[in-house]
Amino acid sequence: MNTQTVSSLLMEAGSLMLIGMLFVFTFLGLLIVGVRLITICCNAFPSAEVESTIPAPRASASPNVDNKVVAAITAAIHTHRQNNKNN
Amino acid sequence: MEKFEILWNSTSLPHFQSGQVIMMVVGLVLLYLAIVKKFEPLLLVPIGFGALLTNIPLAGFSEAGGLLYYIYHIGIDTGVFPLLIFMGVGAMTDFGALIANPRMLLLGAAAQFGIFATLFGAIALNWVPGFEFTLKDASAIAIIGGADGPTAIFLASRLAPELLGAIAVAAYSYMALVPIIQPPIMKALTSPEERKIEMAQLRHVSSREKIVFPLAVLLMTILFLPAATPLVGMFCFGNLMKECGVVDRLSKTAQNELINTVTIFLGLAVGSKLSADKFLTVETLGILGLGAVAFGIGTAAGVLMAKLMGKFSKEPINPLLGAAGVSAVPMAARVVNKVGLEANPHNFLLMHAMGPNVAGVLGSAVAAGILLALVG
Repeated sequence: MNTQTVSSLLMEAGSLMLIGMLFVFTFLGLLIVGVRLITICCNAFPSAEVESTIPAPRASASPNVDNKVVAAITAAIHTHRQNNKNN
Repeated sequence: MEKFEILWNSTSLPHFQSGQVIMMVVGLVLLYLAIVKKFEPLLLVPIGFGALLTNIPLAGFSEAGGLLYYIYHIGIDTGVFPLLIFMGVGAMTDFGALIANPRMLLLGAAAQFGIFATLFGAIALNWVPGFEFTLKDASAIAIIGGADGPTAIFLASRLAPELLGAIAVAAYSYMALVPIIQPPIMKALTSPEERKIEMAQLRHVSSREKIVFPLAVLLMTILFLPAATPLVGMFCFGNLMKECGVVDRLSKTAQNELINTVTIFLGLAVGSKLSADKFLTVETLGILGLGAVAFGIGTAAGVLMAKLMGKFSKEPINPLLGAAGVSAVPMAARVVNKVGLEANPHNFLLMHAMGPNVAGVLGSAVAAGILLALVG
């Protein structure tokens, strides 16, 4: 490729670089403003959306409770209910 | 005797050209990298195998009527496959970290300097005899610096289809090499004290913000850069499906079955472009070299921008985060996390790095749109 064409292409590439970077920064810069606006709007009009109110699953039976104790209590409840039903 | 000759001619042995053998070896090297070295296996396995298939003499995989010919024309010539992949990527992307700290968008913008600097470099290579890159070729090569496979394939299919094979291979190889290319640059440009900087905890982002965000991005693209709407539009569509929460089935399909199916065909189609006459050229060497430079410059620009922002910011900014501005999600963010942990074992930067990382995806899509609008 002759020198002149390369030089003119280089000029063009240089201007593309300037314009391109300028535009990318402007675009994403505007997007920053956009995101901030979205945040402000969302904070100004809080939705009825219930944010993470689902309680963390309760730890089932703490590990140091003996299985026998659990079995005994279960049996006790069972008999209690049976008795209540009979009454 | 005549029968023997016919039989001999119907085997591939007398028809093998040296170029085909070399390209089959290239295919096998890609398979080796994928299977043994685990470099982007999801893409390099189909690409490597596609390279094997397309170089079989007499089978005509890539000639009119052949399987790979049709896959290429349906999926890549039209630009459909990279766009479907982009939709899937959108459905996998969580913008939470970016919405919580929108300034990170500037890092994603700075890292795109790699693209434009490489464009300049590719044209400058024309001084070297043997290289004849037009502005379109140079733009398609430069987008490797965006570190985004689908964007690179999309732009190459629009601007320089004859270079697509080399560009796609370079893009995916360097994405796999991010953990090797980036850390030395990051360490050279930052002091150990800077690497130790801890970032403030990110705030909680409501689901409403996450739903509005892709719509806002799309609106801005429609207004200012319609050339980028194919990429950004599909990306935002995927992301909206994920965040809106009412189409979980579609979102799951986009990020699993659909993207996997498309990846298989995209890889095969890219592999079909690895034919000797297109790949075994001095231009391919130039593309591979420029790709590495593009990655390096992008990383450096991101880190320098992060340092600059740190000077003006009230809250401290760890300059390592800039390196995540080249997209390569989530590899670049993981590299940042790793380098940060080396300097300070209590410094977990992963969540913070996801912000510039997804900003990089947007940035490279915007850069691709600019190149399409100005060069295409």
